[in-house]
Order: sequence, then structure tokens, then C-alpha cells
Amino acid sequence: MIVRAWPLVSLPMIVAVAVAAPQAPVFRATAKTVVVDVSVSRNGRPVMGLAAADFHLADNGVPQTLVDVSQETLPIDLTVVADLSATADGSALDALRRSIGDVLGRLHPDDHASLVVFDQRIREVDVSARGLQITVDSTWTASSPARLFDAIAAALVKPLDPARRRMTIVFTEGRDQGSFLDEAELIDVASRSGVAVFIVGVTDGTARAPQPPANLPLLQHLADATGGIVAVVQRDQDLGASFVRALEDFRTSYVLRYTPAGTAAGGWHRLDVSVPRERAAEVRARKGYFDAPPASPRDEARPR
Amino acid sequence: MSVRRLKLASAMAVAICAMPALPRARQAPVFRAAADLVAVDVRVVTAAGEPVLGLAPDAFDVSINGRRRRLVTADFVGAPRAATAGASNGAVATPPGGVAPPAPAVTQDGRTFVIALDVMSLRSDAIGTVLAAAREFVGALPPADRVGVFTFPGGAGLDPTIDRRAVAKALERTAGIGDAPLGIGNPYQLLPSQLADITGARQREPSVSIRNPPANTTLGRIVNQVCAFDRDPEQCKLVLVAEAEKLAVYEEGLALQRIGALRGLLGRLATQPGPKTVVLISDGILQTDVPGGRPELGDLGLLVGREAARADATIYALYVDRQRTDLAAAASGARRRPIDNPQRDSGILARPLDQIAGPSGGRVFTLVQGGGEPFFARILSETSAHYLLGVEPADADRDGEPRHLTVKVKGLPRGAVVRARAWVVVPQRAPAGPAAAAAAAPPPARASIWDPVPPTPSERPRERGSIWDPVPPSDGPPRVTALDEIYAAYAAGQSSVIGERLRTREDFERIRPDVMRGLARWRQDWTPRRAAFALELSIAAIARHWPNPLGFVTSAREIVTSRPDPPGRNPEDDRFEMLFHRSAVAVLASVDAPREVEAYLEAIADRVATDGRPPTAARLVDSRLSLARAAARERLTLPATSARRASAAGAPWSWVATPEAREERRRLQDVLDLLDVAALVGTPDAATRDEIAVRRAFVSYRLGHYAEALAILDGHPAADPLVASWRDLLRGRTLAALNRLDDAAAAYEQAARLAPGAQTAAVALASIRLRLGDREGAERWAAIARTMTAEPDPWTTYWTADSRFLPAWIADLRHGRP
Repeated sequence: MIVRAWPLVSLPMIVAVAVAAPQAPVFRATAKTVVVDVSVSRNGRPVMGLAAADFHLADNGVPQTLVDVSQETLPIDLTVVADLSATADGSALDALRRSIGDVLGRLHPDDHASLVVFDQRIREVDVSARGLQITVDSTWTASSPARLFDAIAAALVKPLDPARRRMTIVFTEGRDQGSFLDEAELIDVASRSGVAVFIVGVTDGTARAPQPPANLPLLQHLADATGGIVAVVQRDQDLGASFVRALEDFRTSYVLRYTPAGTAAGGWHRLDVSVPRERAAEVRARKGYFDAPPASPRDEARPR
Repeated sequence: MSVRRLKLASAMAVAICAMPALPRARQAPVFRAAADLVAVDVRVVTAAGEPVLGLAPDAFDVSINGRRRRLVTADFVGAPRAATAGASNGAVATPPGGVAPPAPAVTQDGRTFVIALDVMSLRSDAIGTVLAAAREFVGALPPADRVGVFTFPGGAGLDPTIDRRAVAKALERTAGIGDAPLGIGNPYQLLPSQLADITGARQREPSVSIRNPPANTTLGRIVNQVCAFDRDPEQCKLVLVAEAEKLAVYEEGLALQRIGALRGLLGRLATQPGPKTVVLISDGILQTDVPGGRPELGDLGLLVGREAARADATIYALYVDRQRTDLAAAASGARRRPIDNPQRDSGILARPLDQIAGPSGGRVFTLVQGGGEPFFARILSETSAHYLLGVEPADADRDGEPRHLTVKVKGLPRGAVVRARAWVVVPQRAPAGPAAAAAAAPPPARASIWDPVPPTPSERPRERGSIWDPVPPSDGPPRVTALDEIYAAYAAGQSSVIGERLRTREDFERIRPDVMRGLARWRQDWTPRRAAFALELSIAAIARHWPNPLGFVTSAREIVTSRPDPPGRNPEDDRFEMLFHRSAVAVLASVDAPREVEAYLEAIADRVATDGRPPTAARLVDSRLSLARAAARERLTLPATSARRASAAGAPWSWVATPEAREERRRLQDVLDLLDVAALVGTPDAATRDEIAVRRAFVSYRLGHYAEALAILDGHPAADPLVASWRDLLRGRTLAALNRLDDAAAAYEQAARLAPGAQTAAVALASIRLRLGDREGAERWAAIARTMTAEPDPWTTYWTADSRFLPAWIADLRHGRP
């Protein structure tokens, strides 16, 4: 069963008025509010109808009082990050175009979308134009670097709108070559970004003989750290369906808000989220968030 | 004295005592009727390696190509004892019922020994004890014996000399560059037997998918067995076959290169008079033992045996059995899987050595522990005396071609063996008159016997089994080919002709035979412009995806290195050659082929010193090429994706090698050593010095030496904007590691100013600004990273090293002499 949690905001935030959609709640706050996205599912289906009282959330081990729980109300900012090195032939590129088109077609009128593609270069593509103009760099060859880590980092760091929820879908084979950031630095950026990262890992396997994408542990780590999931797509499976599932999974997740109490400000805050009444359900919550200019736990862990 | 030294001294003493007593030494025989008889050295030794004395001429039975030949003389020849030999007890063996041995003749001229070190296979951590034993072996030889040192495949070395100190120094300077089994870039730790099995199964089951082959196929079973012990079995199954095939091709190339170097040595020894003994020390040469498997070396072992016959050389090989030495070393911690088969792996690696040594009249010894003292003692003993047979050949034998030789000895003591080469070359009868005088004239003097001997067309052996020479050169008169036409336009200044005439792969396939023959022909008739053209063909081959594009680089290199003047004789050609090598290495770097860069530099090691061995008169130096070598090694420190995943029990991979990542740290240290070489050889210009410093700083950072890295970077404000950009990026990274985040941001901003719009600096700034809590600044830089595309991005060029100079260098090469 899929469990997902997503903290929308990872930095101390004074939440001002946020009115983005007719159904969207209006929040007025004068204190620091943390927003956490939580996915609750049973047998692969989202568990609906949960209220604030159903959730238990601890910030650095201290139980918190939720000020609000909502679902399917806030508009979504979607960024698709597409690894063009995984589309070495024309049919794969066409499948990618179709899949992105499918997912864009599922967006609500008040949702936003953007597309970042990369091989040895990173570039943002205008998705508002008619037909997606995604082209593989003409100089790309099998030995050209695909800067996966750098591209994901560049795509994740975008302005946060408290009235919107942000997710990124990364389409990749999982291979990196030529990035300046290392894996640890990418995880660090992702942890601070406040964006849920969903991975669509493509492979050369088939449904009968499935194969994992390259670097699967890293992809899983990235998704876990941000509250996303990893979907593995074999070459004979529907790529577009995996994009749409990621979007729907995110849209049906709960948004929890609370004002931290009883915890020291600053640094890394560990989050524990559960739904006591749904013991059979899987609850996915990200591991925590950064507050204020922190000292990265990674810095401390890394050798000098 | 260490235990090991004592053991060797003791072994040497035994060997020397086993040398025949020479109470009444007499001169070595002057070979009678030399014009008509063929000299055949035969060693008859007991199971303990002691020479068997007292054999009469009628004890020998000699056949050439299966036909018995008359034995005219059989003289017993002994070497003079070493000055350090001490008293001998005269312990020698006699045949059962044999007569008292006559006093053997003593050769006063001294013998020739060559210690041939296969440095590409020998591991740096294991070579020391072997070289120490070799030094003591040399010290135990009689003073008149000449000893040379030959390292291959590079080919550098010391000419045979009686100067023992020079020999000892040459041995001390030798460094092994071998790596883990099957070398760097073997992420699945495939063993030789597994490589042979996978490539063999692939050959037998060509239609089976190489990505996750079905378990009910042979290939699938082998892959499943190997991958079951990998940290990520599923990923392993996906890529193992492809990795194995790539590795096999690479190992095949290396093996051919090493055997080629050995053949070159024998060719050079053939120009020296008298018998020679080659002491070959190697960690083995990989040749498949599975039909259809790879690496496949064909009958190259046989060829080497024949060439040993031409050179009058006996090869004794010491096989350093890594498979078992690792097992024997308690502290090695070498990981073994239940499916591993060290005995078979040892056999695979030793077999080519056996094929080489056996036909030459020598043998292979296997070293499992120590420095090989018993091996050296055995050589001392076995070579201390031999029978010199004078055999009368038939007229049909006199064709100058290798013929099969068989020597049998009647009445041998139990366990005794006969060592004689398996091939003999009977020269043609010398013609009379001026032609004979010319033929008898000594070859032109060369600076060193290691200088290549230009082969004449008639004696040039065909490169049989070479993976890169599929179409043998035509022996007929050259005809004007499509290649000639394209080259004519190129030589006339139409440098774009390659691209215009060879637009598609089909265009190339049409003229492929011409290209192969033409390039082979040009090796006999080089010009700088032809070499440049061949190198440009390699660039076209890469761009157009022709088959085996890097083979063109090899062909081009062979054209340059076939020039008649050795390095140091012709300054103009030396300059061209150096620029050519720089460009060729840059081509390889541009396609991310660091192992090929290393192999290339090894192949020209007898011409250009890049590895720290002191340059000789016959070797050029170039700090830029040395730096290219270091950069290639640095590239090889980057773990493969699979290795990254396996790092530190699944922890995210970091540039900084943890203390537990010992192999990565060792390789990084190798890079530092090579950067030292680059800084010290030749006269590096300012740009090269700056790049050496920046690369040194990054390696220091990756070793966790942040303060040292920062000091280096602060001391080298590079003038070249690209190198300066690398410097600032790495300075930012280092400052971040020191938790000086504001300073790190400033350094990254400096990098961004040097290369406006470069994505790497922008990504780094987004990351560091986020850590500083400056979300707005981070978002601004991330937006720049997504929208700006400076070309080239400096960081991308860091890993492709000198490829950034390629356009300018190629333009210069085009001005070479046509």
C-alpha cells in the first residue's frame, strides 16, 4: 500500500492570506505555520474523509495540534522534469510527449505546470505553446553526460506559494553523469525545497521480465525525503498512466497545518505522522523539514 | 637481513653450488663449420633443476620438422661462477651408468639476460618483493653476464649491461600499474573465468537478450549466478553482459598490446648475437578457455615462440598468481563468492605465458607467496650449463622460416627433463658477391637496442589475431584507392573533404577495405599530414557512429610512431608527434574513454615519458600529456552508478571518499602522484601549472583534506578563464565543506561572473543559498540555471580534459608535411 506525506513548507513561514481557488480555504496567521502533505491509502486506494482528529503528528517528538486538515482544495503547481537521455529514439520521445500531454490535460484550470528537460544541458520548456516543443540536443550522444542531479535541483528550487501545493514528477532512467552536485547535496536541496518529488523510473524491462531503473536506492531516497513515490515503468507499460497516477495520488493527499509548539526553533525537525484509527492503512509522511538557517545534518555527518 | 633475503641467499647458494665444478676450465667452443651447422642449445636438468652432465653426442636425437638430422657436435658449456658464488661442492648430476663428466667449456663472453616486466599487469603493492628478488638474482650472476631491463607494453628499459648498479636502479624505478583483477572499471568484480563464460555463452546464444537474459538459457544462468552476489542483483542482470563484452574487448586490446611489445622485444634481441635468456615477470595474460569466448588471442603464443627461436632467446616466465596470493594473504580481505574458481582463473591467466615460454625452451613458474626466490634460483641453476649441439640441416630446411625442432635424450636420470626450443630457423645459404657483403654488414647503429627495429616488408609478421587490422595489407603494388583520392584533396588543403565524402555509414562501408589497407600501408610510408588525416578519420568515425571508431586512433598512432627517426633526432617531427599525441589523447577524452587514454599513453611509453619513470634520451617528455594521464586516472575514480548505489550501505554518494572507501582513496592518491609527475616533467606552461593545481586541490578535497585544498586554490589564481572557473567552483565547494557558507557563495558567484550563464555555477549557488536560508536568492539562481545555457559549461569540460583544445590542435596538425 502506498503511503505518502508531503510537507508543503519547509521553512519558517508567516502565512498570509491565501485565496487561490473558489473552494480553497482562507488562512490568516500571525505565527509560524508548517504545512505537511500526507497521503493515506489502503489497498492502493486513497482513504477519504479523514479529519484533524484522525491524525497524530509529532514535531521532533512533540505532539502538535493541527489547525487545519484539507483535501483536494488547493491548486497544484506541477513541474515535470524529463531526462532526455532516456529517450534515445524517436518513439520514446513521442511517448514522453504524449505522457506529458496526458498529465497536463488532467490539470484543473487553476493549476500551473512547467517543464524542465535535460541531457547535458538543463532548459525550461514553454508548456503553454501549442504542442510540446521538446527536442533532444542535437549534439547529444550516448557518452554525453545527463546531469540528473543538477537538473532536479534546479527544477525544485522555485518560489513557494502558500496557496498552492507543489509537486515535481521526474522522468528518468536514473543515470547521472556530469553533475556538479553529488547525491548527498541533491537530497539536501530536495529536503529544503518543500516540493514533493515523484519519480517515474523507466527501464528496458517488460511486464513479464521487469527490471529496476538505475540508481533506484537514490530515487527512493529522494522520494522518501520529500513525500513522493517511485513508480517503475517497463518499456511495454503505459508511461502516461504513471504520470497521471502520480498526479492523482498527490491531489488526493491531505494537507495538514500546525503551528509548532514545544520545539526549539531552527535546524532539522523530524516529523512523525500517523492515523491511529486506520491501523491497516499506510501513511506516508516525509521525515522532516528545515527551519531557519540550519546546519545541515549532512554537513555534520560528512567526513572532514 | 630479512627472512626473505635469507631465503633467497640460501636458494642462490644452492643454485650456485649446483653449477658444474670447473676444475680445468677451458675456452668455450668455437663453433665448427658455422656456415653449415645449426646451433641448438639444450638444457638437460634434473627435477631439482640441476644440470645433467656427461651426456655423449649419441645420447641426443634431433629432428627438424619431424625428420631426423645428423648431430655433428655436442659440447657442454658452463657459465663462469659468480664472484659471490663461493666454493662449490661440485654437485652435478650424471646419467645412470654415465661416464665421469668432462670439464665443460666456459664461455668467457658472458651471457645476456633480459628481465621483462609486464608492468600493466603487475600490481604496485605486490611488485616490490618480486623486484627485490630479481635484484638479488642479478647480483648472483657472473660479472661478465649482461643484464637488461625491459618494461612493457611501454617498452622503456635498460640496455643489457654489466653495470649491476644500473640494473638495480632500473629495477628500483619500476612501478607496477596493474589493478584489481581485470583492472579498473570492473564494477561487478568479474573474474577471468566469468568473463570467458559470459562471452562464450553470448557467442553460442546470440539471440538471447543481453539485458536480463532468461534464466533458462546458459547466459541467463551465468548472469544469475554472478548477480546473486551483487548488492543490486536486478541492475546487475541488466548490464552485466554488456559490461562483460566491453571489458573483454578492452582486455583483448591490452593483451594484444602486451604480446605485441614482447614480440617487439624479441625482434630487437634477434639483432644481438648469441643466446639470450628472457626472464618474464607477469600477473598473467587473459585468454579465454571457452570456445567462442573472449579475450581470444589466437595463436599469438605460438608466434612468440617462433620469434623467440629467431632471437635465439629462451623465456622463463614467473607468473605472479594474484588469485592465490590474495587468498594466501591473511590481511587481504579479498571477497570470494562461492561460485568463484581461483584455480581456473589462475589457469586462464597462466596459459598464454606457458604458450610463450614452452616453445622457447623455458618454462613457467607460479608465484603464490614471497618474491619468487626459488624461481630465480632455478633459473640460475638451469642456465648455468647447457649442451651446444651442432646439427646439420637438410637443404630443404634452409629457407629462413621457423621449423619445428625436436630434441630427445636417451638414458636420462629419473625426473630429468630436456629443455630446448620448439622452433629453429635455418638461414638461407648466403649468396656470394657484393650482395653477400651487404647482407653480412652489421645493422645500422641504434641508440638503444630497445629502439624499434623497422621491419622489412618481407620479414614483417602479419598481425594475425589483431582485432584492429581486419584487412591485411596488400603485398602487391599500391593502387590508387578511394582513400588516396580523399587524402589527395585533404593534403591539398580541403580539410572538409572527409565530412563531405563520407557522410553516411554506407559511404564509409564502401571504402572500408581501402581505408584499412591504406592506413596499414601508411605505416610503412609515413608523413605528418597522413597521420593527421588518419586522426581526423577517427573524429569522423566517432561523430558518424562508424564501427570501432577508436581503432582509427590506434591506426593513426601507428603511422606516427612508425616514422624512421626515433624521438630526439628530428625536432620538427618531434614537435609534430607530440602535438599529435596530445590531440589523439584529447579525442579519447572527448568520448569519455579514460581507460583508452591510459592504454594509449602506455603504448607510446617508449617514446614519451608520462608515468614518472625518468625520461631517457630516446623518450620525449610533455607535461600536458602527463596531465592528460592524471586527468584520465581522475575520471576513473568516479564510481559507476552501481558502485555509487553500493556506497556506504546505501548512503547517498558524495564527492568526498569516506575512510572506508579504501579503493577509491587509493586511486585518488594515484592521481596525486600522476599530477606530481605532470608538474615535474618537461616545462609546464602557466596554464598547465594552474590546471595541475586545480585538479590537485579537487583530489585533496575528495580525500577530505579541505584546508590543504583551499590553500592550493588560493595560491593559484588561474589566468585561463575556464580553469579559473573550475577553481572558483571547487573553492566554493571546499569552503562549504569548511562550513564557510557565505564565502562559498561568494566563490560560486565569482565562477558565475567568469562564465555568465553557466548552469553549474547557478545550480551550486541555488544549493548554497538554500543552505544559507536565502530562499529568494536560491530561487533566483535556480531560475538562471533553468534558462541560461552558456556553452561550454566549464564543469562539463573538466571531465573531458584536453578535448577543449582539440579544434585548435587539429588545425595545427593539418599544417604537417604532406
